Order: sequence, then C-alpha cells, then structure tokens
Amino acid sequence: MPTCRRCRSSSRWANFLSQLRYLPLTGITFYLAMIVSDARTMQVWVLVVFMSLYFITSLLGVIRDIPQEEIDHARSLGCSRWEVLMEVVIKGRLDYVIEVLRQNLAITWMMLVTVESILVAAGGLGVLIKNSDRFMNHGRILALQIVILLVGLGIDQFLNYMRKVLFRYSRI
Amino acid sequence: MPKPHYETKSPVLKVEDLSVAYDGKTIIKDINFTECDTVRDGKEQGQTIAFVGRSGRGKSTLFRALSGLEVPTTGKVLVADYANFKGNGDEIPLKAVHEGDVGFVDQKYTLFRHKTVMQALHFAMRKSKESEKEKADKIAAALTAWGLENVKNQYPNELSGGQRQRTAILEQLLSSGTFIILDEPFSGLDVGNIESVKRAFDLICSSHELNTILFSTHDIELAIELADSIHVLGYPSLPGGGHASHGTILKHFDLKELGLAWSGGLNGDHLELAREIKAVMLGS
Ligand SMILES: Nc1ncnc2c1ncn2[C@@H]1O[C@H](COP(=O)(O)OP(=O)(O)OP(=O)(O)O)[C@@H](O)[C@H]1O
Ligand SMILES: [Mg+2]
Repeated sequence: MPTCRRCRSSSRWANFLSQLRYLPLTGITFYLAMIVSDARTMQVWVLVVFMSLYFITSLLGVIRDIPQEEIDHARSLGCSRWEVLMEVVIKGRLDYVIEVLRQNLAITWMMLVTVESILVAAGGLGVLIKNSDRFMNHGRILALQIVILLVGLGIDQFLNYMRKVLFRYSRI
Repeated sequence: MPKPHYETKSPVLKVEDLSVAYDGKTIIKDINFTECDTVRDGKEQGQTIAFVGRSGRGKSTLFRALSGLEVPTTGKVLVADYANFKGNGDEIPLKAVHEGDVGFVDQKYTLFRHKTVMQALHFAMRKSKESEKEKADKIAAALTAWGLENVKNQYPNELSGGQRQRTAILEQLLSSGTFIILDEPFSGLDVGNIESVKRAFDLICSSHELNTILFSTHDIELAIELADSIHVLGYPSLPGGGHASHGTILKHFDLKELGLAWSGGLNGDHLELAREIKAVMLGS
C-alpha cells in the first residue's frame, strides 16, 4: 500500500476500533446505558456498535488483500495518491463492501435475538421466544425461528442479487 | 543479406550506475546503458529493446526502476523529455523518470477491474489536452486497429487473456505516449496470440519514430527476431570463481550493428547469435 501519513494514522485508528470487537456484549451495554436510557434505542445501538466494529475489521481485510499490481497499474497511468485511493481502493472495491455488509448482517441478524433477550424491556422476537420457552409453547418457537430464518435469508439473497446487478464485473 | 542502412540520433533512454536493493539486499547493480533514437530512410522506425536472463536475475526489478515505480537505491534513469523538445535537429533533452512517464504492462495484464475497455481507455487519456471529440476519435481508431471493437463495453473479467493484454498495452500507449515496457508479454500465449503481439509491436514501432518498446522474454529466438538491441542479465562471475548474487547486464548485442535487425525472420546468423546468448546465460 502506498503510505502517506494520513493513511497510516487512519489505518491505526481503524485497527484500534477493530480490536474493540473483543469487548463483551454486556460490557458495551453498560457504557451505552450511560448515554441512552430508552430500551429500544439501546437495542439498536448495541447492534450498530457491534456491526460497525466487525464491518471495519472486514474492510481492513479487503484493503490489505489488494494486490500490489493493481496499485502499480494505477501508478503507471500517472494516478496521484488520491486517484489510487479513489480508483483502486474505493471504486475498485465497492462490490466487496456490499459483500462484507452481507456477511456482517448475517452475524447481526443472529445477534438481534440475543440482544433482545438481554434487554428484555423493549420486547421483540427474542423476548417472544424466551416467553414461549417458559410456557412450553414449542409450536410458537418453531414458527418464530422459521420467520427469523426466512427474513434473514431474504435480506441475504437481496444483497447478493444487488451486488451482481450493480456490479457486473463482480465475481467474488 | 545487405545490412539495412540506419543512423542513430540522440539518446532516448540513459541508465547510469543503477542499483536497486530491497531491505538492504542488492537485487541489481552496476546497470549502465544508453539507447538512441534510430532513424531509417523512408520508414518510421521505433526502437525495440529486449532483456533476457534466467529467472530471478532481476528483469522485473529493472523494469520497475525503469518505469519509475521503484526508486533506485543508487544511480539514475533518464528518459527523453519530449514535452521540452524544441524540434528537429536539436538534441532531445533528458529528465529523470517519474511514474506515469513510461507505460508498464505487468505479466498479469492488470487492469482496473471496475472499468470496461472503453472506460479504461478514456481514463488513460484523462490528462491529455485534446478535445473530447479528438479523444473519442483516437480511441475509436485504436479499438479497431487492435481488434477490440467488439469487446469495448466489457469488463476485464469478461475478456480473454489476449484481449486483456491488448487493452493493457493500448491503455499505456494512450497514457504515456512513446515509451512502453512489457514484462514477459509472450508468456502463456498460444501461437496465434504471439503473432498478434508481434503485430502490435510492429504497429507501435511503425507509428512513430520515437516509440520505444522494452520487453523481457525467456524465448531467445523471439527476442532476436523482434529486437534491434538485446541486453543479457545475469549474475556476474567473481574474480576468485563463483557468482555474485545480484543481477547486472553481462552483455549487450546491438543487432542493428550486427546487421541482424529488421530481417523479418531467422537465418543462420541469427541462430548463431541465439547460441551465443544462451551460452552467456548458462554461465551466469
Ligand atoms: N519486493 C521484493 N522484496 C524482496 N525481494 C524481491 C522483491 N521482488 C523481487 N525480489 C527478489 O529479487 C530477485 C529478482 O527478481 P525479479 O522478479 O526481478 O527477477 P526476474 O528476472 O524478473 O525473474 P523471472 O524471469 O522469474 O520473472 C529475486 O531473487 C527476488 O526474490
Ligand atoms: Mg520477472
């Protein structure tokens, strides 16, 4: 990677943020509780924070995997550092961003239910499952899980489809 | 066969005392050579310069330095500065090479993965001062001449190897003008593709007298057939026996002077030269 001072310092920041994903979930809710009080907002924030940390981690991986040849190719066409960033890193990897988003949403989707059952106050699917479990309503658990599965798969397929439609060159 | 008449004019490429080291390890050292503009009567004649040498002797490293992608550890690479060239008769001024001055096509024919052939060519011409109309005309003409008309709206992953390679060459020609470096342009190509790259060389050389192609290959006969100047890279032998572990130019053959250039085929003298070159390579 071509290194300029700003790139290096921002990549250090990204690496730092990426490491925060090892913070335990309940730890994060503790800090967030100091900022937000509403339970629903809280649920959303926990998910947003987690998703962002994983997202940054995956994006760093994508950037690290850009072959030197692609950067040299741009340089040989007289690209400035900013043009290299724009053409090779940003535009040249936009389809990977959607792919990364899709992978991360899968994790987040799984976490959704967990987060909801930790922060029970706001209700949600997680709470429904928990309650059904308590009242031995197995049929309802199964139904809820199927709903969650189908919605999840739907989002996944949609993003994959969008990537292929938007980026014809994308073969990941 | 009569020796074709030619004259050499001012230098277009001058390499002085070049060395490149990676992490303190010297890869190439003591590289010195000069290539001049060659002029033939009644013909546009560019320069075709080949670099041969066994694997790992530093051909790719030398090319990276020549194209300005790698900053030399010592020495310098000077290329003709046509922008400050006053006109006929004058010596062409030289300047230190900077990335973008020299076209470079790597062995994998790397392209922008998100640009179609057409978009890539327009991008390559983004800095040119011609009008949009002139650019479009030039690109259209080039697409036809290089047989890329039918695939102009396709992305690199939708092109064949040969089409990718031609796009990569064309892109560099439109962007940097006269100099183009090709690292192993013949590797992994079938006979038909090799012919089309040869035609591409012809096209480049005959389109402007100052056009200069530098290429590397492991096919010595092909190098002799196409080039008018051949440099052999290898590890130099040490006085006490054995070899140094950095590459340098061991020998230079000027095929123009030997009367072997531009003959359009191989005869006995060419094959004799091939034997000589191989002997130098094997001893390094
Ligand atoms: N980025 C690098 N860092 C360290 N060493 C390198 C690097 N690139 C190349 N080398 C070393 O430099 C030497 C010359 O490599 P180079 O690729 O220039 O050889 P080559 O003549 O092009 O070989 P080939 O014919 O196999 O392509 C090799 O020993 C290689 O290991
Ligand atoms: Mg090489």
